[in-house]
Amino acid sequence: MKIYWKNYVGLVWVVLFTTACATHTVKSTSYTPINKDSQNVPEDLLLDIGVAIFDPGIDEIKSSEEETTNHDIRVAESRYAPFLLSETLQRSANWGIVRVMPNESSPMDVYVGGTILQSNGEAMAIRITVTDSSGREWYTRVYDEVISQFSYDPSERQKNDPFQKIYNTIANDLLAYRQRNLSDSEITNLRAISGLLFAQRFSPEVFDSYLSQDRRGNYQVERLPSADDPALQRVLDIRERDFMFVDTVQDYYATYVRQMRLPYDSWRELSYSETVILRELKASAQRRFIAGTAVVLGGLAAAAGGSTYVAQTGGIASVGAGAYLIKSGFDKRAEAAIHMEALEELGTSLENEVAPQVINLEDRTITLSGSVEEQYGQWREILADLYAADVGEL
Amino acid sequence: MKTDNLFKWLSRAVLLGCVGVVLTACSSSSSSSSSSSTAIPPPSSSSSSSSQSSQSSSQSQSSSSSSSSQSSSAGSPSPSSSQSQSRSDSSNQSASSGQNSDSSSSPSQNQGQSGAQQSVENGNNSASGQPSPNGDAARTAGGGSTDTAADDSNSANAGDLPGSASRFPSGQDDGSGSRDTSTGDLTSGDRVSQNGSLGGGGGDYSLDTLPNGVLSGSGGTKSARVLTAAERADLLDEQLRRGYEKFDGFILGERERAQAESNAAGSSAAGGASGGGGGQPMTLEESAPQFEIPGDLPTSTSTAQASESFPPPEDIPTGRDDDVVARQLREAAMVEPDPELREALWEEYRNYTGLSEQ
Repeated sequence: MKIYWKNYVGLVWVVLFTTACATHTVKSTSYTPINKDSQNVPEDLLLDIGVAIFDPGIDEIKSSEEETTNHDIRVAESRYAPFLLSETLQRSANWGIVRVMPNESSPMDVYVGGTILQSNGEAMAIRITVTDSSGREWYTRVYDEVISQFSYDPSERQKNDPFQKIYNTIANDLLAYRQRNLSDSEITNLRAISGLLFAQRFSPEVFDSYLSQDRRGNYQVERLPSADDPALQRVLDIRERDFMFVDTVQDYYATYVRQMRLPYDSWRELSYSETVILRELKASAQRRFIAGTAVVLGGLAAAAGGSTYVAQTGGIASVGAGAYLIKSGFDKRAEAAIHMEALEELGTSLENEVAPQVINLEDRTITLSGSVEEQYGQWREILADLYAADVGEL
Repeated sequence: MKTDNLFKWLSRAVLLGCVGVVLTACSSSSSSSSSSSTAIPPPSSSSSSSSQSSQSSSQSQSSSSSSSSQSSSAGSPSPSSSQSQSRSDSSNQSASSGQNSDSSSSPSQNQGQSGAQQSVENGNNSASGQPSPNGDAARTAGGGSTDTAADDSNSANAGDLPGSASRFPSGQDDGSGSRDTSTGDLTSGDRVSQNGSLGGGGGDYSLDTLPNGVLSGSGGTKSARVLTAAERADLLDEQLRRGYEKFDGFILGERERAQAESNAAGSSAAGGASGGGGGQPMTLEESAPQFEIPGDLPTSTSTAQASESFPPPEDIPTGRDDDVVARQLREAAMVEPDPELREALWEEYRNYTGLSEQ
């Protein structure tokens, strides 16, 4: 009776350990469609969205993922994901123009910023922060998704990005927030603020007094310029050209995304497989270690405390079985290490492919921004002279 | 006989007295001529050079217009007669009303100079009561003094330094001082006119926009005309417009290049496009010659190129809901003469707007 009790306790421990080490991964194969505003929103009530280059989130990489995360790929993703998000928002037709912003100097009605928290082909997590031109933060949310192999099916891949659900969800949340929290007058106000911020950037002498900041630093419209104000017309002309500049940068990003898509998808698909295998191997190895240890301990107990020959023999056999389990755990761990190396190699391979593209994208964007900014500087001087001529200072 | 001698002496005494009176009258007429031209009796034809100076002085004081005509005549090649010289001197003296020329340096240091200076001051005083003509007189005087530069270097310097009268001590006559300031120094003239201290100086205000010598016909005409605020604004607007054109040409060219690369990347992606991209974008300076537009052409490069339009394919909707990119794709496709490129652009339009997915 005493032996039965010990065996019972040992079995419970094994079950508990095994259960505790088991992982449950919920994979999504469902598709979240993009919601469209049921109302036909007038054009002057459509908010323009600027999507900032995402933070690669290198500082926030978990120690357990450090080995399998390639920093250069993360940087490449931080340019890739915003473009997909901007395309998604643009296709939703719920907004005005939606652009990936090369810098923060062009004011938009709504800004979407993000930090990539995880991306390994199987799972992706992005923290999104939305603010508006007044400086008010709408919300910060974390979007994560674990996809199935089905998402890499060529037919599915042809239609959408494997993680398109994340982008669609972000777009839907953005629309829901706007519908719930913003009235038409507030939208008009935000558009006015972004326009005046741009005007301030070029002609602060004229437009500084049109905006003020409250205690929290949020912008408020003090007054509006006349629609036929020549200074405003000049600034609007320049803003049209700023949009052209931003549009040109979109073409750079489009080229970059197109160049990156194929190798990146290949990497993600392979990474998906490797990540799944790696995770299973690690879990299997961990289970084997625990189970083997428990069996060894149970066997030792049975062998030491066994009053009969059968019990002692059974205990010794259990110790042997436990040792085998532990050994197989080591084998699994070695196998996992091979897959980890494979992941690293995959990462290095993609890194070699996309890193020059990232550098090229950055170089082109910076060169164009520099040229444009130089022209903007001349226009600022002319606008300042015009202002001086208007007030008779010259 | 005694009586005859007495009459003889008396007649001599009277004659001497008359001569004395005449001489006294002549000497006092120079000083009194400034007070009133009518008070001066016409000099005798046998009068000395001093009487000639007196005459020219009286002429310059009697009427501004006559002084002006004299000055202008002095501007022409003048004969080297003593009379013209004295006229020129008197002109210099009257010019000193608008300038800070040192009268002591004037070559004609004759007896009537002090009287001439007085006449100048009096002329200024009377000018302050009549702003507009006096403004003309002052301008003419300035021109006249400049015209006499060949004869008098001091006068020439004074003419070249407009508005030196503004450096007069503050005790100077306010009317002439403010007017001179406005006529001479453009900058200070602006300030004066803005401050409203230029009483009734409508004629002088026009001078604020023009440098000295333009109206007088002197060497100052070579200098550029100073622009009004409106003209300056027009020029700056024109400069801005040229900047727009240059920028438009540059950015449209860059966009075209980027879109072509994007399309190429899209088509070659299936074959495994590798990194590198399409090279660096041009800078504005690099692109400037390519997109430079003649200054007098108001049209931009894009509008010049968009001369012919091709209708969209049947499956393309009206495009009323197009965003900026779709609209630009549509416009690019509609003006693309190459059928293959045009179809590629329409395909891009379909992809972008989601038509291909429907």
